[in-house]
Amino acid sequence: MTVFASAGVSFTYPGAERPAVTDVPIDISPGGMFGIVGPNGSGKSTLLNLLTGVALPTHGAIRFFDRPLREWPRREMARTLGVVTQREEIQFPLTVRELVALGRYPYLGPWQREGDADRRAVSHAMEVCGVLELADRPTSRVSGGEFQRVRIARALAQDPEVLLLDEPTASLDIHYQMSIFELLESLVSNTGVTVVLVTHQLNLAARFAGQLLLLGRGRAIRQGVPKDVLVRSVLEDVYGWPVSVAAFPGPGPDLGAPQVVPLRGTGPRS
Amino acid sequence: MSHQSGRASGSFARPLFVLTTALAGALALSLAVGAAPVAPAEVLRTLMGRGDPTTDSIILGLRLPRALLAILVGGALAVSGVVFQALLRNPLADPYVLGVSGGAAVGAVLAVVLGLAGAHPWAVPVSAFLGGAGAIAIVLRIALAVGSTLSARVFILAGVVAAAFFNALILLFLSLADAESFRSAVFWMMGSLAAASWSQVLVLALYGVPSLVVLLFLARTLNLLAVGEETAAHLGVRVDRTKRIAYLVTSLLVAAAVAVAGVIGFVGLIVPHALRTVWGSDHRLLLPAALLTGAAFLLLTDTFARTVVAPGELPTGVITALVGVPLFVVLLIRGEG
Repeated sequence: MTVFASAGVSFTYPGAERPAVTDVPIDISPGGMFGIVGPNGSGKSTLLNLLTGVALPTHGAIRFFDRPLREWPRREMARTLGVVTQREEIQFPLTVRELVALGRYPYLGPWQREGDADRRAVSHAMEVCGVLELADRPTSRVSGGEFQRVRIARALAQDPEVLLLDEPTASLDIHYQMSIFELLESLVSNTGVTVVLVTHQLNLAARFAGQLLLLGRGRAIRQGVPKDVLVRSVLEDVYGWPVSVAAFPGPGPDLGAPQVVPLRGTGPRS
Repeated sequence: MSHQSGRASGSFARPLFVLTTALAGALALSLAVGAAPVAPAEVLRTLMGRGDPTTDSIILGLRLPRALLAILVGGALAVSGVVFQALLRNPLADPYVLGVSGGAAVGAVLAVVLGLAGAHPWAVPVSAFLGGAGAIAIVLRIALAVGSTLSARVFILAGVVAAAFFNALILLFLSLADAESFRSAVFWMMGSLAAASWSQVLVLALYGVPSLVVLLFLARTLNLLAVGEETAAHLGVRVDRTKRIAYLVTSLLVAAAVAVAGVIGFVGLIVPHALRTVWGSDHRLLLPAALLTGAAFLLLTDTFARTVVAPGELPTGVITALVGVPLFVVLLIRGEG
């Protein structure tokens, strides 16, 4: 069984000259963390939209748990796949608990009130993400790092089997970057959820993800374990900047993971 | 943002009970006071069918239909404000944001200037409704031409330019009008319930109640759309379909309210705003609460408008703005402070 599978998908935005994603094969196995990396404009977010079903492939088809993605009913999809988008701005007064409780939407009818099971799922999700003590605080009064954990909690309240995140650590400090990655890792090992994330943070991805997919100009450049994907010549080609790649000296369980450092004083690589 | 965050979700009953009681009190007051004061006991006797003919004609012929129309119009405007604010994710949106009032005013002013107003009591309301519906069609058409997703930004821009265009049309018609038409057209635009009749109450109720049921049915979905369309889509909402239904039902409801009452401002802006500050943003509470509060607010301001200079009266829309603006400023300062 695979979580997401495709022999190759392509997507062209209406009116665009060249496709944003070209014939990218997808093979994501259950359980584990899967990282999608690549330069700006390489098609990462488009690929994510294809995986969530927000965008439909112009060529090719995606299977989600061995069933064509477009055959999944919306509500069932929302009970299986939790998505944390890149950004979200809350315009109206809403507490953390109310925001997390929205994750129960796919389980409730239009008039149905939240039951005990729903309330338990919401509290549990907040506890797992370490935001239970913020439950009654307005979302306007939590920090960027806390807000990100709150949004992950909402996705967890959906009780999903797969969690999809678009740059979950963008603009966070190292404390929150690590706490988000460790949270995702603990979800993978404790609950068996599959985590798929798009990130610019190659070094964190290399230390936490079991599999990486490197995109460049809408094409799949490489997929595999981090040390096979984060290779100097490949990265220099894709990112157009000279880099050095060294093994992480530790300490920690990720000893030996490839760490990418861009070089200075040389200018872009032609 | 001082809303009671600890509120257990299960206590919608209490706020709604308080608001229903307030509305009942406002109704009792509006029936009792006026150019000819009627004692509460007399009002009760009339309502039970045992009043004297004079009181009957005042209460049943004048005050009750007007009060019920105020309830329907105020409720419709406040609910529409809530829905538009959620759909556009903009706390400053009001029921007229998409140019419905401008279109309705064009229809009404045209009917007045062409002298149709005296010909039939429904000439102005029908003409205003057609104008409002036309405005919706134009704004929707513009927004759909830009993109099938009805983006909030495009919608607001389309509404603003449509309103500017309608405004120019109104001024054009007014510049061609004689003094009497001019006066009655301007009065219409200020908003008033003075022309209330049982037939208007009946039509607006038959039309408005199903619309309100549809919108109440969307309450939970509006909670998600108010947070973000992307998030809503990922949680299983059919975003485009829901938005089209909500925009259409709400704008037509506003067009109907404007058709019978003219342009009554601020109810649809301050009522939703005040309720959000007090009870937060759960539309399952917000929509029925807005219905009750909008109804009570317009009922009280209209009662004030027709009693303060009795036997003359002030345009209701002027009073809602005069009361509404300071109230809004207070809410804004307290909410942000």
